[in-house]
Amino acid sequence: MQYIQRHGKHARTVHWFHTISCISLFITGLFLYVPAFAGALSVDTLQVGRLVHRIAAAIFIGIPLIGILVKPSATAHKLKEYVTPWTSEDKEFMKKFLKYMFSPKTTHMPKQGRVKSGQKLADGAIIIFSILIAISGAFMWINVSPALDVDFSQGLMRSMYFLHDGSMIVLGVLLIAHIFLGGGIFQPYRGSWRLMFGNGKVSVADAKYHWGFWADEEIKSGKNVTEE
Amino acid sequence: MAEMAIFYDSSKCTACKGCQVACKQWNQLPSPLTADKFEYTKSYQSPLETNPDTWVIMTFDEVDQDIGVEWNFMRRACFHCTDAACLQACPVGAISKRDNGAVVIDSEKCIGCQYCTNACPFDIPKWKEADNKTRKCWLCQDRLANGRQPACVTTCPTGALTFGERTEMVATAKTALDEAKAKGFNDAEVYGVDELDGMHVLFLAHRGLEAHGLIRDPKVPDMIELWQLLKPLGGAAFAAVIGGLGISYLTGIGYKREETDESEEVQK
Repeated sequence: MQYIQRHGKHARTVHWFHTISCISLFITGLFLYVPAFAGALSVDTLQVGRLVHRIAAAIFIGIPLIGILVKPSATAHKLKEYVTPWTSEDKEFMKKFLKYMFSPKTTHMPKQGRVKSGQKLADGAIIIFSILIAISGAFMWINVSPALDVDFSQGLMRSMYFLHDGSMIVLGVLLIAHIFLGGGIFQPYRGSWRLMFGNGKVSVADAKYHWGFWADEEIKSGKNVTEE
Repeated sequence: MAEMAIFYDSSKCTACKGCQVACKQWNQLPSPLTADKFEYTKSYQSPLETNPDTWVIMTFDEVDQDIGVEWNFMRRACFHCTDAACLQACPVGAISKRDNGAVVIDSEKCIGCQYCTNACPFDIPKWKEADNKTRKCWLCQDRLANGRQPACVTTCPTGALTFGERTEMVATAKTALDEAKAKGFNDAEVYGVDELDGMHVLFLAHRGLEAHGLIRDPKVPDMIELWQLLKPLGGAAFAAVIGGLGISYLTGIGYKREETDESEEVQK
């Protein structure tokens, strides 16, 4: 059976770290976001949660930055894939996406490039809101850090609280959808979890189904195609 | 239990700071042991702001007049608002409103996040690094439980501070306002009756609110209210996406790729 290498070790490693940090951030953040959780937990548990939240935040912010520093050209190359002009297939994909989600048996999706148009939008939102949540979180952390002895204005901090929770909601919704699709819970995406948590390879059949144009290019070049 | 309130009459206050000292003494709030802890400010106001160990301060607003300096005093401490921004912002339920109207921080529950210190429109709650807790006036709940008045009220030698049922204090404040106007203080105003749905510390500012450093028409900050709206909105968003994806999963049961209807062609 033929496979195409879709994600390298570098991307998968970054994704692993981000998975762990995101889930940790989400769970420990909910401690303070949901009053029922906060009320049920002891102060010591909440303080441990806050500490874990900050460690996870450092990983969440630091890992992509290290990734960019280690492989700047690869990062730039990947980002370019998001700013390509939208083709008729991209537009068609978006038009059909909702129907596809609720009627995958009767919906045929158009061929896509390496990054699906829906993924371009979702990833764009993830990048923007990740930056916002990181900046607002940094302000919140610095403001309560005795070692730094910085006292931001009340107005600024109120905005940061709003921005942090608002970004969390957007990212939380996108994270749930990402797990549903990328984790292969959605039936047409079955097995796609291996792309990031396995060896990063996709069968040619799956590649043609999901990213037809990209699969055609890869098969033509043969560079990343293996027989197993 | 009836709602209680302190009434502060600035026209009777001599700023002796007895209330400031009584509060520290009763609540066992330490003073700095190091020399020159507070910067010299050329003002009788000391410290310049409330802090975790000083829950009440007297403010001295000095105004130059032809005949010399005119002092406008004010008692600065928690206002015990009915619509308390600090209570809304606290993520762990450490701040509660008692039946008698007092807004109280439970130190056992406080995690020191400082959301309340940034939410309060009066900048009253203060965070203490040593124990990572936020503190403020608690309207001497221990004294009230034993039929006594708050320590600051008990010690006031001029009758500038009085304490009782809130309805009585509102009436007292209005009487004091009439008396102040009759004495020629035409700018005199009462504060705290309606502000933030009613405070549990009421004021007569005999030279006007601004002269005594009070914020006219205070509100829970818009950003705090918007922020609090995010909790139900976020819950609804998560429920909607999980529900929607659940339906998506159910419609996909039995899906086989080769059975997909491929009759729809891409329109280029």
